[in-house]
Amino acid sequence: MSKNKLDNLVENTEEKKMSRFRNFCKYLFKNKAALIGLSIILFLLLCAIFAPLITPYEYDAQELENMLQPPSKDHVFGTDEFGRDIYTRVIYGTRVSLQIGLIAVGISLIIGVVLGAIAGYYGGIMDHVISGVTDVAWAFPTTLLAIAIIASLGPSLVNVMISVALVYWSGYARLVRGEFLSLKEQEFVEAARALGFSDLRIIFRHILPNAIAPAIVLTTLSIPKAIIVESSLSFLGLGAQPPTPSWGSIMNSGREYLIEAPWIALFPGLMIALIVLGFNLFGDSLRDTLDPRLRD
Amino acid sequence: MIPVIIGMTIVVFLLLHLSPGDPVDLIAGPRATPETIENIKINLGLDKPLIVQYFKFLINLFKGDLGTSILQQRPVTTIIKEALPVTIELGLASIIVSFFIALPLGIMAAVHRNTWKDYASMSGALVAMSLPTFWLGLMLIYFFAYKYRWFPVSGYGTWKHLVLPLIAISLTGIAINARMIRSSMLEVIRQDYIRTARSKGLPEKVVIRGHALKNALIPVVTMLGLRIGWIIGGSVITEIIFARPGVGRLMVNAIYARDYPVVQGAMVVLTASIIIGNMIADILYLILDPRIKY
Repeated sequence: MSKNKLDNLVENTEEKKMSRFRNFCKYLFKNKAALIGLSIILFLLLCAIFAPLITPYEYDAQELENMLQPPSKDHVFGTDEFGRDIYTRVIYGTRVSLQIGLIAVGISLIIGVVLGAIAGYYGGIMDHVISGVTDVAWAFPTTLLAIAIIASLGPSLVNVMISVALVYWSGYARLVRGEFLSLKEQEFVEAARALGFSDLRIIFRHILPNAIAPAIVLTTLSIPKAIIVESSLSFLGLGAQPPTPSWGSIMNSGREYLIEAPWIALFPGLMIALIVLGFNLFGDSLRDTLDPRLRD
Repeated sequence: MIPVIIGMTIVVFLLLHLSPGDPVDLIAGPRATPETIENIKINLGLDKPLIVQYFKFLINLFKGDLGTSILQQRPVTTIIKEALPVTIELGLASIIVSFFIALPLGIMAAVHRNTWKDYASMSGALVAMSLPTFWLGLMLIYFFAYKYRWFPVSGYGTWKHLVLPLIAISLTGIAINARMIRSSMLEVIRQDYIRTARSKGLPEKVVIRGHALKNALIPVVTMLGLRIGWIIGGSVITEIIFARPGVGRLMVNAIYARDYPVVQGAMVVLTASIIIGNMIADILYLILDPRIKY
């Protein structure tokens, strides 16, 4: 008898979770901006994955007799100073940007969330130490810190990933710590403790799922910033090294040949704008959906 | 506040002293003997333990001595003093211009909420926010300095040299500020005291300007402090594109040349300006918000 009741209870909770999620999706996708943003992101993701299939050339194939050609039938976006097809390089550039966006921000999310959770949950000395470090990291402006870290580590795409991860973790840490500070006082935590659950389990299985929503919004808004940081660093020659086609590094050569071949700088920049727009649109709608106050 | 500042100096110091590249080799050159390298190390004080070096760095900082440039053999402080006005000029102009354009835009969007004016300006802001600064800079140079020779391509000196960099660096700021002002105004307009003001029969203009605006500006002013940090970061790229001899460009060129004292000095100065900017924003916040008593 009691087993049935317990089963019913569990089923109800699972159902409730599914319908909450469904409601959330319904509301989110009624919003045109969210749909447009998501489509842009998915489109660029597909470009990155299927790059070899949709590009007619190799990204490092040089045709020196065709250098600095304006857009034409053979080369939709024109060619650069080595005769490389810019359209191909721009499409492969999607891979670089999305790698930075997803991997680097992913790492910073993990670091930040774990540190924020520990600081918020345990309080005391741990909180003091972690918050101290977080505050210092948070105080630096992102581009400047990224440049300084690259200056220290040396120019390479991997170092850019490390740099981005080190720049953005403090945002997550602050956010999650704040959420934990308020959530840990609630009754469900007391109940979980009374049931004898370990701290680790409480943190990750009970409190964290409730604290994750703002972190997700932060992620959709951090990815475009990370992409811009990587482009800026590559633009300065401090990021992706030749021949890797990062949008930023393509624009670096675009800068050298701006007068003779403005198309080199034009197209990668538009792609950056597009991906940033996509994430901003989606992130904005996500934030508005999750924050009931802002629903005008 | 103080521990954060100290923490920042530690980070700046460590970043450049723990770097894998070795500035000593650069100075010594490829044919140096081990003795020469040792001598250079002793000269630069690089042979002492890290902690000692850090405290020397801190003490020199207080004395205003940022070291000597390896490349130019001049005091770093002098070099930075020459570059600072250039950066400040752009930064200040950007803050002022962004504010005075974003303010009417944000207010208009808030007051005419959900009309075409609102949608148009906020969509425009979203697009403007997505344009990368360096791309904008390059496009501006191509069209307005090359195709139409209205402005000089690069350099520093007259107001004409300021226009294109200003547009490049401020567009994003205007967009972000306009959105912030709009949402801030919307929150304020919903408050009861606005209702009271309206029911008192005050004309709408007075309600907006006299009551709503002042309170809506409070979070915006706090944003200004954060904006300074952003502008300084953005000015690095802008200075390089427009060849403005500011601190940001100085720093990046020093990175290329492995001139570590200059990189370190520039970091310190830029970080310090951000801290000062934040302090000013905090003070303004205290002044503007009548609810906070000191």
